Amino acid sequence: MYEDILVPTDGSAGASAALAEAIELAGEFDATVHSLYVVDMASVGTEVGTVDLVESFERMGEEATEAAAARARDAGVAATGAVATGSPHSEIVDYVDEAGIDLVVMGTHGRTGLERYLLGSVTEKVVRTADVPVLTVRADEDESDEAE
Amino acid sequence: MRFAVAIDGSAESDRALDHAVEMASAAGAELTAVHSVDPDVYDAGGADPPADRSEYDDRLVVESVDDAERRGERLLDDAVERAGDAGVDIDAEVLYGDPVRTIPDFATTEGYDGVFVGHRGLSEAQERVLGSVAKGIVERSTLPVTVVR
Repeated sequence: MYEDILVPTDGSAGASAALAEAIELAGEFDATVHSLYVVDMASVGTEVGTVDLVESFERMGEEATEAAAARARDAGVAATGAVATGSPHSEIVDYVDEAGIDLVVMGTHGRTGLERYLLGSVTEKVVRTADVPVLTVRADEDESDEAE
Repeated sequence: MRFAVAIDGSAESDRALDHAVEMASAAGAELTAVHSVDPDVYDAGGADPPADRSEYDDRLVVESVDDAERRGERLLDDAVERAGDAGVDIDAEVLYGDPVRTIPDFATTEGYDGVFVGHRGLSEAQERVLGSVAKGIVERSTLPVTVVR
């Protein structure tokens, strides 16, 4: 069924809930969890010191993906981590193609007020453009018992 | 585990069904096909009138709750048959109202573990005009939702 499951991470509660779901599914299907952190170049900017900033984001990404992979391995699931740089949704879709991913698991926010329109613009774009199924997980559901 | 799959007779909904059947079969889970009868939808076609009888039929101009209900039951029968062909027995459930509201509410109330729904893959601009049931279900549902293109 699922052999390679991708969980993009940004360190948020949504990403943590998504990771918990991905680990459970990977355990069920004996799949590998791929954790991906994308350094969003649009938020880094092009000012002086950008290189340092990108490097520190990359280090943060490595820590986040290693932590996610460790959490998966603790649950007895094979895991790998990667850091990419660019526009989050297109890096995620590229990774899906390159690594032969067959399911993407991503967090969403609730539907109240403004957040309704912020479904997670990255999640929304991935849903729209990825060729593989996208499993969306509500952040505020698993937060209390699954958050790291 | 129990999963629900949203059925509306589109090619995307067939793909979502196929995926959900495969998933349920692999996970040893139960699966229910759900269709929400929403008589507010009168025409599935464009602005031009249908050219001939067959096109008229394809566009399914829904005229009454009874017609919408019969169409929903037929779609669910087709879904059950399609899953049966793949070797999986599934249940069917007819709901009434806006699918964005009824499907997540049904799945949550009945204690399902997740929902599968097809997505047309429209552009951002098209979606702004036409809306997206998949997106609405993702926003509304507290359960995990798998969107299948």
